[in-house]
Amino acid sequence: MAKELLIKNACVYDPLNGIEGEVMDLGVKDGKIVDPSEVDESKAKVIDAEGRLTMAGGVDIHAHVAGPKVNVGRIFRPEDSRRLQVALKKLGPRSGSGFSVPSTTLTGYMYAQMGYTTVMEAATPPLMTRHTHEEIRDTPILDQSAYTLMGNNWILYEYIREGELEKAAAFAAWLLRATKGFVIKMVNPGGTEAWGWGKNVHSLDDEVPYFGLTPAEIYQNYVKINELLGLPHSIHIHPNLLGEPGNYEITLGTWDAVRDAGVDPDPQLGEREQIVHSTHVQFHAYGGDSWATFESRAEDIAKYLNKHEEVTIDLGAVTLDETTTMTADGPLEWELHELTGFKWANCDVEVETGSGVVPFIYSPKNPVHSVQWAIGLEIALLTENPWQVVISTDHPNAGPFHRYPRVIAWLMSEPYREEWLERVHDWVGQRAVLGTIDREYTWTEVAITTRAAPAKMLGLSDRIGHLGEGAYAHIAIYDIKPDEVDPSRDYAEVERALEQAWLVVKDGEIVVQDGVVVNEVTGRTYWVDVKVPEDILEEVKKDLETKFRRYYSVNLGNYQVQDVYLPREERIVIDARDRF
Amino acid sequence: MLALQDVGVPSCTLGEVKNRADTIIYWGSNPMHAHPRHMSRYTTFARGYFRPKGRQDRTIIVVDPRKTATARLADVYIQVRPHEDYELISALRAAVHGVEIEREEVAGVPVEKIYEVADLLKEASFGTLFWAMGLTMSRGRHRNIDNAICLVRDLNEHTKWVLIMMRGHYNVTGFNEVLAWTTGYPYAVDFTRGYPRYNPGETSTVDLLTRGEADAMMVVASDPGAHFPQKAVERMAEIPLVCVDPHWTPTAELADVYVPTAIAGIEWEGTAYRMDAVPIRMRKVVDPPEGLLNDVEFLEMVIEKVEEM
Repeated sequence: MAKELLIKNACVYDPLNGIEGEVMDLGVKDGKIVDPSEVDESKAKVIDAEGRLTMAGGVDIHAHVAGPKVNVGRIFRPEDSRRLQVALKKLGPRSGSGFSVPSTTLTGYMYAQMGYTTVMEAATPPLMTRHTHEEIRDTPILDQSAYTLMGNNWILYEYIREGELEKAAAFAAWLLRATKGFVIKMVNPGGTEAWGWGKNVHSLDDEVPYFGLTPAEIYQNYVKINELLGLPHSIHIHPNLLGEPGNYEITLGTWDAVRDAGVDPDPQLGEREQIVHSTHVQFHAYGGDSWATFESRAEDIAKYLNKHEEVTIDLGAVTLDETTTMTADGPLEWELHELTGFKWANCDVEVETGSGVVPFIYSPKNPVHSVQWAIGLEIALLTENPWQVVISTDHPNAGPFHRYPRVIAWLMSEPYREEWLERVHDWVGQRAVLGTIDREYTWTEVAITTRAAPAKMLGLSDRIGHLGEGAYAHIAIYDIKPDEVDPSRDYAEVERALEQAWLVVKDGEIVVQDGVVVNEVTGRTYWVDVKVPEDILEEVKKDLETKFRRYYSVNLGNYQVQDVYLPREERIVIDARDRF
Repeated sequence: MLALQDVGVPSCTLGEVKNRADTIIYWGSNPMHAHPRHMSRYTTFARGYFRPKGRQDRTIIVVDPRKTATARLADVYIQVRPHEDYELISALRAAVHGVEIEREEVAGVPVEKIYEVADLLKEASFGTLFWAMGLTMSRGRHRNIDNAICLVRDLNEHTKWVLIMMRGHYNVTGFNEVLAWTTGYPYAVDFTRGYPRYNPGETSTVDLLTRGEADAMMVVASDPGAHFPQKAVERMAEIPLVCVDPHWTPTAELADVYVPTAIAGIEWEGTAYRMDAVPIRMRKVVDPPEGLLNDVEFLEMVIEKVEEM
């Protein structure tokens, strides 16, 4: 494989560098983007893109692709694996299976096929994170990281209750190192702990049983911890009451509560502007007080976002497929089981979190599912600033990730949405506003919401999400020429082209050609190594010796994920020692 | 496996039981003999966050046809007639739902006792059902588990209940996990068509052996020679058989080639998944005898040879 690449006549959309559809050359050397003049044409592999659409490799800020609950989905849904069985040498060298919960190899292949090169695993239970890293290790091509679930952690709760914010922050840093994690992830704070007793929390002021804390207090302390440590990403939250009619109020209330903590974004790496990233917001934008009165509140959500740039979101757009729901929100999955009667898997994890998995069939004939479908698109279209929005399906909860091309095509084409409005239930006309929106995403907005914005929100925009000099050479070229195609009219063409990239470069190596994986490279695993004041850390470690003995079923010495599980780590060192 | 693919699996890690469980059932399971450290480390005798007094804070129910060592420790012992577990689970489910059972006894258990136990289960604040081979290997097999899972699921309409399978063989959970993430299926995967296929009854090892389809077999760290049905073992004796295992087993006895390997967790490092799917790092404590390979080294050499062919 050539160490140097020269890509000529690429039609580049690179919003972080202000490039909008300019036909230009790209140079690649030693895995990074360089000025084309630095590439020795006689030694380099030269590719003529002939004006094809070219963007940085896609960045998925939130997907469930690796770890214990994902594997529960595979184990207990052979019917899902049977829906998509891929033979050797078809998509790439190896075989795999799974439609909504693909095997690790297939996950890597299908993301790469779409031109995605970075995919963040959205939730790992700390105690079981060794498993998550084993799956990440077995997922080819993709750069990944694991978001460490902390929103229901007893040790954090205890420090916060005792008013020991600095100890809590030092413990969070310790836990990120122990799990080789990248983000402080919160899922239904208080609610998942309450699920340990078969209960939930129902408002921001509901006390978590036995812990004397409310979700509002938990959010405020966690956002302070996050900014005290100066992490590259903000707190990444899945608010309470996911999926319940009328929950838009608690969503807006949650964002208010976080803002009331009075902290500003203060990352030590990157330039994010948000203090909170609220994930799969489609599931949190519901009006009404029952399924009978269910309606879209996307307008309220978007109005809030338009006023507050310190809040960012990803969509969790419903694609109207049969899929598998999985989340650390234990009580929610029980509700879904009760609602559908479908089989239910649950795994509560001591001291830390819980989880559930239930199959789900989103049907365009179902009134509620149809409105859910509309809400995801409405939020994307009504939020004015695309830098606050990331396209996601909360894979696989609202739909599988390999439907991203369709979601993008919907956003780029009003006629395509019209076509689907004909197919879905009438409720969409009455209880949603999608049919009245004529905005269509441009290629620049697509590049922002699938690459540039998530890279910036994650604090990694110095290396991914763009094609400027020094960036990792993650390049996606699609078989579509922006100057010849009108996405509004030719939406089918857009969807097809985005499904199968013409060429994908990862770390300077060609990994996909004509939609087929030709080369499996090893992806990197990002994690944050946060240095905190020694004296505070020592006190925390002393506490942990007692707490582990009392609360856990494993020894402290066996808890931390060893280096051997990360064959290609990218350790991001953050020194927070003089910030305490 | 088949049962949880049918009806799901509401479960938890062992530390949850230690910290929360006030009611525990062992059904067809005798941990006092089969899992001797289990009750003191994780469940019955362990002190937990919400169960500071350990044994005194917990009610232990044992269901078994035999009055086992575990049964003798129980607060409530239910002597089920052999092979009538399914009936008893159904009766308990009926009682939990408040349905009248129009019989005097079910599976040898008086109906009054069934109602009493159903009330105990509903009054728990956190209940855990452990089951083992006594339930999976008696009449009804995985259908018993279907029904037991449904009992636990039904109980969640009243309070909190979970279940954990008392798995025996070392790291059998790890095998299911790894196969599932690499192929999409937990066991019985057939690759003959170039893609992974799963159809227990057709593609399991026992199926292939008893139908006489398999004409060679390699066994790694497992002992089917001791556990498979006789017809399958007879086929194993007929065909070329390679056994890769640290121990000399009945499978090794049948094998044409036996490859001794280092023991993971003693002579070599690795990962093992606990019965509750918590992955544990296994450390190397002593060097293996000179010249002994570990599984990974051996299999990598085999792959290298296969690729040469």
